[in-house]
Amino acid sequence: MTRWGMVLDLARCIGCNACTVACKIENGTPPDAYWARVYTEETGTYPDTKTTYVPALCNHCEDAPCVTVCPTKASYKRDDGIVMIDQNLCIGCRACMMACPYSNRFYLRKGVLETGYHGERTDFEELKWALFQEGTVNKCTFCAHRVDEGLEPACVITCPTDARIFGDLADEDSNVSVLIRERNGRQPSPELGTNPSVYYVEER
Amino acid sequence: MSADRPLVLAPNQFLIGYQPQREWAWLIATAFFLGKVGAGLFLISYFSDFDLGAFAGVLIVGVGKTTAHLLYLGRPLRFLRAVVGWRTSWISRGIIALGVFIPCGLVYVAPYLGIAFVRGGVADAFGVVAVVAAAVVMVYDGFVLKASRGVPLWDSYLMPVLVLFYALLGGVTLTLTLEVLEGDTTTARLDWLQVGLLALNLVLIAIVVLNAQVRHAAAQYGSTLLTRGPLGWLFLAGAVGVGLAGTLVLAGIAISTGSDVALVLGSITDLAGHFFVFFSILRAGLHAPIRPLPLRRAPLAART
Repeated sequence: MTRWGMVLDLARCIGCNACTVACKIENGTPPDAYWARVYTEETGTYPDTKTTYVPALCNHCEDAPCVTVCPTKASYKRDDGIVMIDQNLCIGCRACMMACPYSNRFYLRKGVLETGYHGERTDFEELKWALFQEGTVNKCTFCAHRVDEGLEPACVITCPTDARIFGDLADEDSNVSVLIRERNGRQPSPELGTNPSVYYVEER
Repeated sequence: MSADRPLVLAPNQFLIGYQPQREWAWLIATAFFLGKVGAGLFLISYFSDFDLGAFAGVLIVGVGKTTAHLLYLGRPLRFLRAVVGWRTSWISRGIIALGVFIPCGLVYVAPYLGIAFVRGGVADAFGVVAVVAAAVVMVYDGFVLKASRGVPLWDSYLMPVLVLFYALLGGVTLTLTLEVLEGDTTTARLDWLQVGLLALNLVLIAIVVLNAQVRHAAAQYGSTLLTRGPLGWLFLAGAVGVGLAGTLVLAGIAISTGSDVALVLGSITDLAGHFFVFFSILRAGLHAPIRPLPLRRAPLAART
């Protein structure tokens, strides 16, 4: 059984946010929804400082707390491990946002879709925002529509430094499994027991 | 990744730091509050044979709580679908309990309202079912908070316990007040139960704050928010000072002097404090920072 997952290489990420933009274009996410994004952390004391970039997205957890708490079963898990939301079932209670330990869910407020980013909706927004419903929650889908076509997620193919690597975690010989094994990949907050399908690797 | 200074609240969603939850605020706090005091009032009134209280309890839950929830939902017309996930979701279980409590409670209080389509044993049977459902309505939001693994401050079995005892306190307080307003004399048993619950809740609040201090860092930060700054005023002065300590003093005066004014004032301070407690706890909810990897090298400051 396939279990789709991703490895995020912190040694390679340069914080360009190309993944953020690629996701926005591919999925046409409304304002304030950033399914793929890059966190910035500044550490140290002037003049000895350092900036670290941490790319992030929904972790598509094996034991997803967001799925468990959903009262309508709008949040569900596909057989290939991708966690999805059926917006036709979502009532907008936002319990899943409270349950997600990684803040990877976004609520679409009422009125957000009425105007576009620039005052009136563009043709692109008309097309893409038809897939969204106000008053519901949305999140990263691992670009399920692309994965189903045999393609990789938009953030992966766009990353100029190959900091995002996508593959089958269930296959021991897959690119992601090898990378996790060889570079000691770690899941975010493993102590929570959610078993994320996203791993981070650091310096070689 | 290195960190040589404490993490702070992240000013936006692109910086690493504690992310305050902004979704559950006053409407959810109101719904939780009305559910607890309404169901608590019904339960206490049922065992005190106080029909007005039982009716008021059903009304508070049936009108107040459900309205607050419907106003909050992004898609309120779909609310009936929320019963589907009862196997794993406490929200579903709560909604099912509401669906049982409101009609059964209404049937139970119908004779009091002069609508005698059921009598005696049948009404009593509905009353028993309503009591069981009321008990679930009283505590389920505590389990909803417990299930919120993204907010470590709430992710504790202390939440259902705190919710249960606040619901009982709210029920006792409102029963006493309604008895006075109806012209009855309050029962000494309930007077002392109120004092006991006030003292117990004071201890529970202290345990919740102290427990958060020794758990997850985000829970610790959340409990710090509860005791300092603007939220600190609401929590310490409003919820603890006025809501618990102030009510204890007023309850003591009411018991020793038999003053109805002190009792009614005490119910106002108690209910206000009750709302402030859970509103503050909701607002102090923080998501933990994204820190994917443990420290691998010494913090920069330590190396210089």
